[in-house]
Parts: sequence; C-alpha cells; structure tokens
Amino acid sequence: MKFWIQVIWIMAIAFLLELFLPWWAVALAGAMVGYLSGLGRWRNFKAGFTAIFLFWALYALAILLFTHSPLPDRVAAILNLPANGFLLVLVTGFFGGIAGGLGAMAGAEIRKFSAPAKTR
Amino acid sequence: MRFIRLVLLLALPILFCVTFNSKRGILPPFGKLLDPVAGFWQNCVGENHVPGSGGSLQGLKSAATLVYDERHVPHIFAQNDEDLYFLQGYATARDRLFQMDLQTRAAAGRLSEIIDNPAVLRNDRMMRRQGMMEGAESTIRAMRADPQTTLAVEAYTRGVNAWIEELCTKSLPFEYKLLNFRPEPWTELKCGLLLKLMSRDLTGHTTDMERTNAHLLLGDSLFAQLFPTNPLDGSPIVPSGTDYAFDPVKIDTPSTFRPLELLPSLYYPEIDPHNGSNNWAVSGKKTKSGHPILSNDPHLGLRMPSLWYEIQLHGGTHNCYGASLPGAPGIIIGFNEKIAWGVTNASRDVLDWYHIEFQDANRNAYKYNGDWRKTQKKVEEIKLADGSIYYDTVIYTHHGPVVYDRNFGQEGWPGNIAMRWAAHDSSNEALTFLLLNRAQNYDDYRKAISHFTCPGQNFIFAAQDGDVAITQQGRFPVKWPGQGSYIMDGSQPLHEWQAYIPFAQNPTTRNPERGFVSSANQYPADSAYPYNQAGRYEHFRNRRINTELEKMNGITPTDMMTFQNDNYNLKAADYLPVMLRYLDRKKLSPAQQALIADLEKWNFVNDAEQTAPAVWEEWWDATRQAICKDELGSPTHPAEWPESYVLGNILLSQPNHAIIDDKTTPEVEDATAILHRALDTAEFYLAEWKQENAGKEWKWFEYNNVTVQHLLRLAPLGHDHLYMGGNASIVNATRKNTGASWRMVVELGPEVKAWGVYPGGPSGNPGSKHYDSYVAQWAAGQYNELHLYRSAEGAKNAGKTIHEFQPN
Repeated sequence: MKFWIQVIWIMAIAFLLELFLPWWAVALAGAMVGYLSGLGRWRNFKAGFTAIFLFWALYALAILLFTHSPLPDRVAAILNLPANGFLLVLVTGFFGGIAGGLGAMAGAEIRKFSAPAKTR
Repeated sequence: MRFIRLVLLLALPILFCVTFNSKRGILPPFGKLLDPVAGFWQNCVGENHVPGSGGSLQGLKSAATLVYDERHVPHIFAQNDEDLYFLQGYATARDRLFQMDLQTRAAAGRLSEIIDNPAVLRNDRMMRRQGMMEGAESTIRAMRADPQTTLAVEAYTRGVNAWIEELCTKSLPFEYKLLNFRPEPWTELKCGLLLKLMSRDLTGHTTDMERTNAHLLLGDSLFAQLFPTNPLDGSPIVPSGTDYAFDPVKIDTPSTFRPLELLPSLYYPEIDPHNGSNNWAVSGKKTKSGHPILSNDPHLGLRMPSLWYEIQLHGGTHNCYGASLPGAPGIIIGFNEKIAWGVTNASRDVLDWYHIEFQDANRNAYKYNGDWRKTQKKVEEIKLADGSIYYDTVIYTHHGPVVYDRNFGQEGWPGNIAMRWAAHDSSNEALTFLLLNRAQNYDDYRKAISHFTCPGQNFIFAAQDGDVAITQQGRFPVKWPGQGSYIMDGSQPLHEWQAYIPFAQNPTTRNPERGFVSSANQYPADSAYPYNQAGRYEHFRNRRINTELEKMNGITPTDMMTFQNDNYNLKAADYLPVMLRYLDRKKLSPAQQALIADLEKWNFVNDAEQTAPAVWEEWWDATRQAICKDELGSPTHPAEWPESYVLGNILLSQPNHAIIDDKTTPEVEDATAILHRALDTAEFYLAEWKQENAGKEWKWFEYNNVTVQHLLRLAPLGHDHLYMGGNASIVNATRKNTGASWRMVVELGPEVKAWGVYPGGPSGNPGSKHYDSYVAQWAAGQYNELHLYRSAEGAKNAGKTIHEFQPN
C-alpha cells in the first residue's frame, strides 16, 4: 500500500468512526489500517501520525478560520502555552497524531504476531 | 519475546487513550478536550451563532417566539405564564447552564464532587454546616404553598431540563469538557439553592465573633466610643424628620449583658463586605421631561459569566424587561410598561450566633432555659472527586445548626456555636418578583414586596403616573441594644429573637418633599425610629448621592448614567485636608514630599489616570493600621476594627485620643506622629508596588486592578486592569473584584425608555463573541438601550435571530 493511500484510508475511517465513537476512535482507525496494510511498525506509526495530525489539525484550523472564535487563544493560555490559536491547532494535530500513530503501530504488530510469515 | 513486544505495543495506545480520557489532578482530559470533532473546538462559534434552534418543543402548551436581538438578548413572547417561564428556563440554560450548575452545586456543598481540593472540601462542609440545604428546602415549601410560584418554578425547571436533554457530548458547555463532568437534571430545589446563595452573599457577612473580641480587648468605655450604636452623621434612607406614629413592638431585655469570652480564629468564608448597591428615583418635578427616572446599580462580585442575565418576558397578560438571576424565574431588577423597580441591600443584621452547652460528650441534649433540650443530628455525606465519601455530623438546636464544634472551626477549641439566620426561615421571595413584574402602580408594589423577608432589601419604585417610593423590606427581628452584635448565650430565652418588626412599621417613604428617594446601604432611619437598627452601614456613598441629587434639576437620563459613574472620593475629601495639616513638613523626605505634593493638588476624583488615589489608599490604610493594630491586631483573637468614618472623625476632632497612641512604644503618639509613621509605611508599599509592576506609575486603574474573573478563576477567561475609575465608598463603587454588576436607568414617560449594561455578556460560552461583549463598554461608563417590545412582531422586525416554537 502506498504511504499516502494508507494515510487517506486512516483519515477516512477515523472520520467515520468519530461520528459515533469518542476521540480514541482515531487510535482504532490507525490500528485497523495498520493491521490491513501488512507493513512495518515504524512506517505505520508515520502513516497513523500523519493521517490523524492532518485530520485534527485541518478540522481545528477550519473552525478557527471560519468562526474567528477567541476560544482557541484562551484555551492555549489555560494550558500555559502562548495565547495563540494557531499554536493550539498544531498541538491538537500533534496530540491526535500520537494516538493515531500508536494505534497504527499496534495494528501492524497484531498482524505480525498472528501471521508472521506473510510480512515483508 | 514476540509476545512481550505485542503486549507492549498494544498497551501503548490503550494507555495513552485511557490516560488522556480523564482528568489527572488539575490537568484536563486532553484527548477529549482537544478532539476537534467533539472537544472544545466545537464550542468555537461565529458571531451570528445562537445555541439551538426553533421548532417543535416538548412541554410547550402553545406556540411561542424567542427573538435574539443584535446584542443576543433573548425576548420571549408566550401566550401564557407556564410557557413563558418554561422558555425563560430554556433560554437561560442555553446560555448559562454551567454557571447555574456550578453555583447551585456550591450552595449545596457539592463542589468536592468535581474539584479535588482541601479548601473546596472545607467550603463544602461550611455550606452544609450553615444549613444552606435546609434553607433551600424551606423556600421550596413556601413556593409550593402559592399557586403562582409553584407554576413558575415548575415550568422554569422543565425548561432548563428540556435544554439539558438536547445536549450531547459535542454541544456540552466548554467548562464541562475542561473539568470532565456532565450536567445533571435541574430541580426546583436548585432554584431554592440559588436564592439562598443570594441571601448568603447579602446577609452572610458577620462580625459577631470579631466584635465580641473587640469589646473584650478594648473594655466598655473605649469600645463604646469606637463602635457607636447610632451612626454619627450621614443621611438615612427615609429622610430625617419623618414621624413614626405607631406603637412599636416591645420585647424583654435582660438586666445585664456583657460578651462572655474571647474567641479564637474560627473559619468563616469571606463574604465581601463591599457587596452593596445604589438606587435612586427622581420625581418628575426634578427631571427635564417631567417624568420620573429610576436608577439602580447593585455592587456584587464581578464574575464571568455575569451574575445577571438580561431578558424580556412577554407573557400575554404582562410584559417586563430587566436583569434576571440564572436559576430563578422572573426578573429581579427591571421595568414594565408602567413601572420600574430596583433593590439595594438593607445590610441589617439577621445572622446571629449562640454559645451552646451540651449535656455530655454524646451531645444529645443542650442547656436551655434551666433545662436540657434534645438535639437533632444530621450526617452529611460529601462525595469526593475520587469516589470516596466524607462524612460530617452536624448537630441542630432550635436556634439552628451548630456550625462550630469539636469537628469544625478551630482545632482543639472546646466551644460550640450555633447559627441563627433569617435565611433558614420559610419564605417566598420569588413571589415578590413575579408580582413586581406585573405591578401597575404603588399599591401593587407595596403588596408585592410584603412577601419579601430575607435578604432584607431597599425596594425602590417609580411609576408612569408620577409616584416614586422606597421601602426597607424584610423580616427584621426586634433586638435590644447590643443583642446579636456579639456571640449570645444560647441557654437564655431573652437572648433569642423574641418578635419581628411588623411590615407596616418598616421604614418607607413615598413622594417625599425633596423630590427624590435613594439608598446606598446606609442606615434606614434616624434616631426617631423606635427600633434597634443594628447592621453594617456605608457612610459615604449615601451622602454624596443625596447632596448631589438635592442640587440637580432638569435631570435627563444621561445625567443619571453619568452620575452612576461618579468617581468623587468623599472619604478622602472628608479627612485628607486635615491629615495634610497635621504633618510636620520639615520631617518629610524628598520622596514623601513628592507624594504629599501629589495629594495636595488632587481634586478628590478617583479617575483612571490619577496617581493620588493610590497614595491616599496606602496612606489611609497605613493610618488605620497604625491606630488600631496595637489594640485590635491580635493574631489569636481576631477583632473587628472601627469603621473608617469613626476613625476619621476621631482624627479630625481628637488628635490625642487614647486609641491613636501606639501602646507598643514607650512614648505617647498623637495624630501627627501616627500620620508620619503611616506615611513611611505608605511610601514603602508604594515603592514595593512599583517594583512589582515593572516600574509603572501607580495610576489608579493599574493600582485598583478591576478584574472580572471567570467562576473557575482561570485568568485567560477573565479581564483584568480594566481602564476605569471608582472605588468602595464612591458612587462608582468598583473595587478590584467587586462593583456595579448591573447598571440600569429607566425613564417612565408615556413610552418607557431604559438603558443598562453589565460587566460580561449574554453568552456564558467563552468561545462566543457575546461572552464578554459589554466589558469594555461597562468600564467606559457606556450603556445599551434596552428594548421592551410591545409585541412579537415588533421584536421580529428589529431582531437578529428568530426561533418560533410549537408544542410537540
């Protein structure tokens, strides 16, 4: 599976799962695609991280740009960061990315464990 | 090996998700919070957004309309009272649910459920030990006994719950996401708790322990001079010279009474003594238009979201507008098409304390009238954030709950003190407001306020037909001199509240000769009034207001708005010139000469840019300290200090008074010596302030630092260093965290016109532009025009968002 195709799959599944599951669904999406990809751990982490980073950061950025709400600045300040909503967009993306990446890595490992001969 | 790796790699994402799905200490649940799909990002809304939508609404009886105007103020048009209060609850919850939830949890002593903190637990215990829940329950019983309040509180509760049911994880208010909890159903009891919280804010300030200690530390003679029972000067609410031609209620007075014993420092949550208010109404003969004008500004804690929620209620048969309390049906301060009304705090003492002697360590009985009376015990279960339960036993006497005992107050102190508080008594204050909302004339006003017992208020009134009036209303106990000013003896029937002043004998005045009525938390009547008026009274605002109103003629609403923002510092004008005269100029250092020069050219106005007000504050405060600390500064037995006006008058007229001398030094100090010492202290603290504030000048707005703080005390959700003047004891009574929480001016012409503003915004959502939309405007002394639309059509033409509702 091509890297960017994998990323798009994770994004799509994460988006669908989050319609009815809480935020940790992004890790689940990473795990599902990670299992199916049959690729290595590190590559899966990168794909999972990239996918959810983009999903969350772009979603957050869209909200920031469309609403001009003062809340992102305020939340950044509450979290003791510089009061800047754009910074919080990155933090949001990074945080989701970690969840997605760890999930994808775990998915790949399950595949490896259950069917070790087929990898690579 | 492979297995271990699998377990490890599986554990990582699970651990990550579990960790960040819940709150860790003070850290929020990061995953839930940051998730753009359901976390805080969903609370970011654009300028035109209003929560929810119109459509069919379960619980509504007939079609109704809710119009949000350009400022996001809701205007409700319903065909009957039930739908009106249903929609009031619904609309208020849309904007202010978290605030309503948090305030009522606080009143019920339940904050520990969501916040893990020992100070919060202590506060929860205090709320329970002072019987807030019992007070709320008795309020609800009284509401239930009246059909009008029953209907209103039931409908309001259903309305709040209708909104709560529409919420999902995504649409939860921001603070729930931050603290990781969910709203629980609203109840009628919560309406009662909210009203008790107001009672506590307005009658909860107590100095009885501190006054007991002050009396015992000073001795009878010095105490009598420093704590006069009748205010020395000032201008009572009911003009002097009023004839009180009635037979006062007589009570029995004990033959001797002295406070019993020195008390240790007992924990009591601070209730800002600067909570207060101004109101005045000028009659048509003093106004330009010939119509009466009413003004009111309650000074309370400045919070985000604001204590007040502006709303119009049109219920088919009546139509009113004003400031409501989120959590209570009706409007508290406002106007309708015929009249306007407002309140200030009566500040009378309706909270007393009694020493209790238990029969033995089992505490099943206490001494009363030469016999033993049975106690009742209530075990309070306080749920903590970690799921465990904290148990606290509270003992009840016929006076009230024993707040301080071996379990609470001061470790190792053997005493027991019970609380007698008017807020525990059954009463239906909500009825007063529902009736005022509908009142058409003076008689309706008098009838409406007759239901009001606690917290005692100065109800001001003005009507289109020309009447202006004010009444100090509440149920006030008749007290003998000194009764309830100290900790009393709970075994003596004569120490109890024996009778109440009849409503008809409460101080009141209608259309007085001087052409205006006013109040600013001063004492209600002059010494001709045949009752003890014990309370905590303000001595400067009332004199400034009455002097200026006396002079004014051809008054316009704009004049009244300007006067609500008046920054003249009467306290400084009273005392500073004499203090300056006492100084020995040769003794001043160059730095002190600069401070004094600043004070000498000061016009006594606390404007934002002035530096003199900060110098005055520091010098005055240091003077009080230098005079009182030697006699009344005991750290083990905290004592009350004399009021500023008493100290000021002593400084003016008796510079060698015994209280002025510092007893800790061998020499005898007079006013001059003390004032020089105080100036040294002031100089030191001002220099320190400058150092802590990056070398800035102590301009008044920088020094006063008016702050509107979020309920959770999160600085990024509040505003500080607002550019404005004012201070306590000034008409614009804005001081640090307290101030004019709602300013309103109403002109009662053929078409009622009104203006108002509060430090906050209609929305409780910090992600909305309407969260703090009035803060800057309020600080600048500007007002919004308030629109009382006669019909839904009128509102719809002018409104911005229209929600039409149909019954389901």
